[in-house]
Amino acid sequence: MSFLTAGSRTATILTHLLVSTAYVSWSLTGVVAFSFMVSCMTDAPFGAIFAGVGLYFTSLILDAISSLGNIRYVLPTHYFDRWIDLLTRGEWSADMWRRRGPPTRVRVALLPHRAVVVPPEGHQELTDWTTVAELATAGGTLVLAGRHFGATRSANRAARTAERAFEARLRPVLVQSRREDPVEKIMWGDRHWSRVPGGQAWVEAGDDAIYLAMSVRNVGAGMAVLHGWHAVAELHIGVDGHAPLETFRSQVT
Amino acid sequence: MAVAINLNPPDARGEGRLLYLASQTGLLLPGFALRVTSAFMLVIVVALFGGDAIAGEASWGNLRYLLMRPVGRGRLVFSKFVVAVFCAWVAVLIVVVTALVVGSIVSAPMPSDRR
Repeated sequence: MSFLTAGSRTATILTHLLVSTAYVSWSLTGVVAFSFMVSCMTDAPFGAIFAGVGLYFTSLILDAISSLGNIRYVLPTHYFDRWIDLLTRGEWSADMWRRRGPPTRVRVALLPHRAVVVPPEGHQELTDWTTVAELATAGGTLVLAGRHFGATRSANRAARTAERAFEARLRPVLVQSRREDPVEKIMWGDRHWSRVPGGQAWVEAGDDAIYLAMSVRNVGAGMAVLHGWHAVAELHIGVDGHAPLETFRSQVT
Repeated sequence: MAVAINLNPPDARGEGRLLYLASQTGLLLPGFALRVTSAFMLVIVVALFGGDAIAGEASWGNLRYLLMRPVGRGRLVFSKFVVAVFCAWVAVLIVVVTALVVGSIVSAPMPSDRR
């Protein structure tokens, strides 16, 4: 008897449609979950998207290999199409849908997983060249997916290195100025003026203040802001760290 | 799709059983639409929702600012996942509802209703 002409009401079909929609949604949630997991592992969104799509198609290809037998029942896409029976049952024999399984008698397959009966193993020839070709295709797809994922990872690493190099290039690097550098005119906060020649410093004892100035040169590309200073009374040769930051006198206040 | 089915009625004994049924009643057009889209297009759309959720933010550099907010990482990941799944379900639902509306407009009424 046909599903359509057996007095099926509109409500029945709508119910089956609703169940089918829920089933498809739930099946696709697996794809979402997998690509979301890859999305947490990589920086490249396309890598994550293709990982989800790749999982789906690899599983489809593996599912098409009949000699894999019962292993296929654990593949994520093996039961993807089972909802179609909901809309077509009655009109077509279940053998057309499950070539290897006996027709099931479940009226409303709310959980279509349960409706599949594992068939007894038939006689099968394992050295089938079609099977070998299909297996090779599936293996190639897996290798491609792996390579793609690896390439995404290394692309991530390259991007991170480039970002770090970019940040290093934006850093200011201050050295002492050269003798050829121009003389700079400086005004202190109390409107005291003086000139600092290139490559030199300026120390001046005023009536109520000691004026210190130094000519520096920025050889980096970033902008430097001098926050404070710390004067040492002896000669320092070479780099031996700096005084503790608390002892620095702030420039700003 | 519905117009194509109406103009070119499929063979009952042909390949697409669901296609034939969909040509009989517009109510089953959503089933056929679901069958066609869920094989390829919906998978890509759905993988887009899942895959773009975090990696997309990371590639745009937004993830850093997102993590600065006073929201825990676990909660961020969980809510992003829930939203991705919800978007995927809505995508499936849109296909079904659109096909239902179009099918009820374009295709033939139910055979049982005609009697």
